[in-house]
Amino acid sequence: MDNKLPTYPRILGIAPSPAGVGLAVIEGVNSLVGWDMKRVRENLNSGCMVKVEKAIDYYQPHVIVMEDGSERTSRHRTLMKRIVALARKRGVRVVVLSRKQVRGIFFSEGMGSKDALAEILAQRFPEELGAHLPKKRRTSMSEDHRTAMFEAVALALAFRPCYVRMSVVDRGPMTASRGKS
Amino acid sequence: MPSPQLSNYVRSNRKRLALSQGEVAFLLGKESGADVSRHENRQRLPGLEIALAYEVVFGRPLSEIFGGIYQKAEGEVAKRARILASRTNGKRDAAKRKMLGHLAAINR
Repeated sequence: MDNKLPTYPRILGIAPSPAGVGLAVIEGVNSLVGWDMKRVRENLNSGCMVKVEKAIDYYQPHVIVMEDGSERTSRHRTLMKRIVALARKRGVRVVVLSRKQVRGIFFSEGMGSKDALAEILAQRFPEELGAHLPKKRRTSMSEDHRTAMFEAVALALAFRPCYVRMSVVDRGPMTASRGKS
Repeated sequence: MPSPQLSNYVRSNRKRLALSQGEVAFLLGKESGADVSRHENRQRLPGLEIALAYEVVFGRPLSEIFGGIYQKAEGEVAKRARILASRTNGKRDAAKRKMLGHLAAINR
């Protein structure tokens, strides 16, 4: 694939979770064409890689966007490395955004909860995501598995505004790059 | 660069309406969801009747459901329209002018 991105690239957002991996695809001027929460029961990372590979084959994205995993678990970081390697093999650019960058797109104060983010996205895509909106999480509840899907949508949506602000060096040619806010 | 589209958006439209492949197949008059799966996975193109039925089921135009195929057809027709226009350029009667106007519209 050419290094130069189309004006409106097809963006695959990937958000790993303890239950599997959330996937979302944005195309054109922010139209959501793919959204899914892939649950994996055994061999979490290998199972997630199978799902990610299928998504890359199906949607043929120009860019893969993931959240910075430096503060996440080692399993998360290993999965990210494997996704980056796979993306390189397929000639897909990988961009890593920080949580702050992603939240900055959706919240005027720069930070907000996952519940609030999911609500914003469900309002933006009522037909696609409205039915998947998880119940508000209480302290005694574990995180709803669908939250990762909303995170993936947020990552994919955040790509364009963040990319515009990135320097040429941060954008990188075909490699994983971390944008600065 | 123009934004390239996927060859079809059957899956996203089906999921948008929370329909299963079997349910879409039923609405299309097919026995099982296998055909819908083949369309979604670009293994097979639907016939005209089924394609129009998709338009009815999803309430979206065919050019949107089969965006990539439409985009490809649009590009190829535009290319041929330019060739046809260049062939017709010498002739300037009213009918030809009308045709050239239409060919120019295709190229826009």
